[in-house]
Amino acid sequence: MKLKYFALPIVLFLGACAAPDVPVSNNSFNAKIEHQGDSSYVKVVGLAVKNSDSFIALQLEVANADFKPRQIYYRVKWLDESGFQVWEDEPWKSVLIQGSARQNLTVTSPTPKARDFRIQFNAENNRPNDPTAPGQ
Amino acid sequence: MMKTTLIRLIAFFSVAITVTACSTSSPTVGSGNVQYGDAKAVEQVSNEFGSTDLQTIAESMARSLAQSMANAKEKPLVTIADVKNKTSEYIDTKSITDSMRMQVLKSGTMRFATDIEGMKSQTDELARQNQTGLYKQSSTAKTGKMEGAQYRIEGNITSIVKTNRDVKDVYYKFSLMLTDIESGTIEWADEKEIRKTSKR
Repeated sequence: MKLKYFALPIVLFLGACAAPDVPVSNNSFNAKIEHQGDSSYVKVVGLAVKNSDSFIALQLEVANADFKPRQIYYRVKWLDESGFQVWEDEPWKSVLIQGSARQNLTVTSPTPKARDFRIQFNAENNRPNDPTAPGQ
Repeated sequence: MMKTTLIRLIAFFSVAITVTACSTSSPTVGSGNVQYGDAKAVEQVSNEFGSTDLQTIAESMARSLAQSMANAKEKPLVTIADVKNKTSEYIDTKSITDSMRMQVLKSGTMRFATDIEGMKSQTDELARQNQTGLYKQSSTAKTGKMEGAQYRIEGNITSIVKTNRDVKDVYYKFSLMLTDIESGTIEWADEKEIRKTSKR
């Protein structure tokens, strides 16, 4: 009987703390993203591309489904029409995504020769007990 | 008995020699306790200014700068002036601006005039070609033909360091601006912020 009184507050508490729903990744932009493992918490949920003054501008939207801030790593490979890489490997960028937050990451191509791109994406705790950082 | 042992020994050494001769080895010298790493990896050894900070700042500034001049009819001629280090650390700001200049040049959006540091080598070479009498007149680089830069890039890097018993927090801000030398107007400016926190 007493449990009844506790059940509702517990359900409400858990509901309030539940991670927000992350939209399922779209196949069209997934082809542009090279995932390094399956991220448990941070997902890419959107990608906008525009040509700006002969440069390509990208806006990558990521969402953290965890309450805690999570570290992600990403970089972009810039390609020409034939798929050749037209710029050297970029340094990996490390970004902290706050808990239960969405964040836009913007990148501009380094050269007007770039016509295409691939985003390399690596999120911490991709696999259980294997928090990886790029190059380590 | 002796003969069998001898045959076995010969067989063993034959196999060992064959295997050794056929095995491939890495083209390395030394005992192997030195390893090459990924120069583009995120460096998290300490929270002092590091390679990732240098690369990130140079890349961010170069791209912003290149895009700002993408619509220019002619590639503007730019010179890099001083980037002051206002932090408490030793930071080679020349290395940051060198990387940035390399990237902007590769983007093909700007040209760079010899900066103040490179001017002595430039004038020395001109003097050597024109004043020593060692070179054919037709092949010497003429004096009085150097181009003056239209724009000057300068900036600074500052930091705020806070520590308590458990945490050290370092905040860097790298600011850069492009000034029209003739008019004195600032035509472009950007900054890059970096925060690094470590447990003590």
